[in-house]
Amino acid sequence: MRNKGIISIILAVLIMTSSMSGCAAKKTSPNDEAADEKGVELKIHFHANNKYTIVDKDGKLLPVFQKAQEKTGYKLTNVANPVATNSLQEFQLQAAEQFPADIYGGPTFSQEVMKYGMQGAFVPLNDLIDKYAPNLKKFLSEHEDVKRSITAPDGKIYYIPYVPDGETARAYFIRADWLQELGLQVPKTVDELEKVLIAFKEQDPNKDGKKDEIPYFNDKWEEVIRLVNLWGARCYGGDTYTVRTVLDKNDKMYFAWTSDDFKEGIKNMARWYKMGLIDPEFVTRKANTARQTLLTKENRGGMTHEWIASTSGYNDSAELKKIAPDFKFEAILPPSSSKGPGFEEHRRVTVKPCGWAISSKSKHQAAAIKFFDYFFSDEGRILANYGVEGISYDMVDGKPVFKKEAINAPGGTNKYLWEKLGAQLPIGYWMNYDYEYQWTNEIGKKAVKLYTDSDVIINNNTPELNFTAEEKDVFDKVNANLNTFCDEQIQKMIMGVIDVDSSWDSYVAETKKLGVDDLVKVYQSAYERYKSIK
Amino acid sequence: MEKEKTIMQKEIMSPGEKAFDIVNGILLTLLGITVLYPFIYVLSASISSGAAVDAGKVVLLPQGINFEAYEQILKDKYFWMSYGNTFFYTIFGTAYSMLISIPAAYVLAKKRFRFRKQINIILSFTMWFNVGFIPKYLNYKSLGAINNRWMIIVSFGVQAFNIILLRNYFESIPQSLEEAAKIDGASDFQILAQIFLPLSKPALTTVSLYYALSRWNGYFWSSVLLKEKGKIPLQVYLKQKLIDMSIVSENATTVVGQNYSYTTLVYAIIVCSIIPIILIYPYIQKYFTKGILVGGVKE
Repeated sequence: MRNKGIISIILAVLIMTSSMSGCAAKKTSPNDEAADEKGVELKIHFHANNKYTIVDKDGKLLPVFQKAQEKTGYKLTNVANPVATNSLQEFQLQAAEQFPADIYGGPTFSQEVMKYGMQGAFVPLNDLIDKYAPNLKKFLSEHEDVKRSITAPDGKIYYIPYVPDGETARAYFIRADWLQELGLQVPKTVDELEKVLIAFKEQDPNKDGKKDEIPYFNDKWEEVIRLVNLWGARCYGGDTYTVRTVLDKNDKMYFAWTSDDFKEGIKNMARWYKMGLIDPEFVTRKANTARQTLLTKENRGGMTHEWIASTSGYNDSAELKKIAPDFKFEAILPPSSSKGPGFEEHRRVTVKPCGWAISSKSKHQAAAIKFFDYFFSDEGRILANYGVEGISYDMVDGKPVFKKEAINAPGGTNKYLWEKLGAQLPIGYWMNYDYEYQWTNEIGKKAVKLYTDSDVIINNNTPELNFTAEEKDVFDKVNANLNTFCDEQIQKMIMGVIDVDSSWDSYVAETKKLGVDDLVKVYQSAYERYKSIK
Repeated sequence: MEKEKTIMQKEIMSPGEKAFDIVNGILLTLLGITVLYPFIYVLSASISSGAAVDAGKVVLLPQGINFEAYEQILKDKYFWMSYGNTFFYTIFGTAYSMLISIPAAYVLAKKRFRFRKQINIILSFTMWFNVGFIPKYLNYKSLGAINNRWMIIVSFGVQAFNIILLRNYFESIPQSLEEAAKIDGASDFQILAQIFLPLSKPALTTVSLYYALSRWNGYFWSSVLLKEKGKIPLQVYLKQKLIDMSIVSENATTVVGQNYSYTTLVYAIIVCSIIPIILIYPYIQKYFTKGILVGGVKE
């Protein structure tokens, strides 16, 4: 019977040793910066938007990458999983394997890349750019803000980003046909706007005999909150709804959602909500459906604040013309308030947190950076933006012009370019606003001119900041909880569930408890560092 | 006399019992509605017009009835391929799992097996502790499970809980039967095949059902390990369509001139993926309810 005991011990030892074999020894291969020859194979792990890689659904290289392969002379091999449905997870799995491929790319991965880069997983690109990438070098020296946004806290650049282009993003759009119907002028101040919205609500401009109009609506409820801009208050720091720490006139960071201006804005929004001027279902409505429902299907929407190209496209909708033959949705300038002239807070980010980086395991780092560099040449920029000549565009007077199939593609030009060409995927490249301009209609083009000529777009958005590990800890701890709390309370205030004046002080006190002051401090220190990068 | 008795018995039911019956009835009805409603909603939404569903107009009954969503998916060859894959993984997967689980449970049920206690502990150990996603992935990778149909079957072949269920049931079969068979000269294999298995129908059905259901719904590891569109099961295909839906909804333009939307497409796929289960379930339900009691009866 002693055997039982001995066998138990042996089994236990076996189990322990087998579980420890999972800890493989870490090895790093030596960096090899020798100038590479043509024909070198670059393994690319690029997985974006939970769906897209550099190959199409049959496993062939997409046309844009085929062309890039031709022009650069390197052989491109896809190692990402085209069937996987979670880009971030794929990236993390690669991290578990210590990034065996040469090039890594994807969306919203800049923080991860910088974190792992500072630990040695990705190659610092500063020297490589100097030596082998003339186009990138020129671009970065001409775009200081891009350079600052991609520099990690240790002063090194670890990835080449997707750089958006285009001064305008969203604009205020109003039913010009309804204004005409009711004999109203384009509102220039927020008080005039209020009168117009009341008229929309009361006077039945869609002529269906019911007061079913929804004066102000939006595809995203977070965007509705931005209406506080109309009363002079800031709301969001940049392109996303999660950054609510903004710069004041003295270049100091503060939390927008607890400022006095914001309070006044919410009070007014609560008043408007009570009067029925704001979509009563704005919190519960399914995201990205309001425009389709309230315009195309029901002809009840009066005004919104949305992306210019896509919104002006509604003017061309045949379906919409059937129920509203005089439909006209035009842009107006932001109305002024008692605090000062109107302003447009939303603009595109300087860099998106997408792009690509070089793994430190790669034996072809010079080839990789030269490959990146190609997309910043004039030819490469056209390739990444417009696709391949003859397939998606033609050259007219030396400028690329989209073919009809691209402009009228079902599901939108973007989807067509991503899936059929591989263009406009979030690799490291410089977007050309002109590509978007081409599928913008006349009304949209007028809107762009209106906003760019009048200087209403603010220029002190919160830049893309890169946190140190300590700063990131504070950010991770505070930001999400703070935002959730603020969302809940502000929604309640707007909808009249709680009263703004009586609950404001406890609301602010609670944000302090959640750490809002630490958050602002962290942003301020990251901003100071950002400003000091040369 | 009998009649009087029953009448008296009826009156004897106290107000407390009556109240319990009523409250019980109400709660169960509510539960029934809560469970039934999503099912009816998905069914309705899949045959409604896309615009109505997106606008939130469809609450219970379908609006703008059309079958375009179904047309779209039945046209897609990848839908059929992934459906076929799901059947493949389910049928072969369950067969493989049962092939492993039955002998394992049989052996562990025999008291005369020398390492019984130790192996039982190791088995239970795997139920309590989970190594986590990354180590598992690295393990599968080194075993060659990447992009390999047969490895999907082998890698997820066994669940400790099911083996324990079977083992408990085998333990409850009277030992006298086995001894009698031994006297007649039967080998262990013969005892297993001719005595134990026929007697264990409820347990076998239950366990194969558990395995089959987990295979049918298997999604996560299939999406991580498989790399070809032709190998993925239905649930991964569904997930891809869900992602398509979220990509398209970012654009302003709807699916112009169509009566379906990506949302109704997704609902239609869901309906298709549960049809086989619904068709089979009434027939095996009785085994399920019997099987839940498996392991409860000890000799």
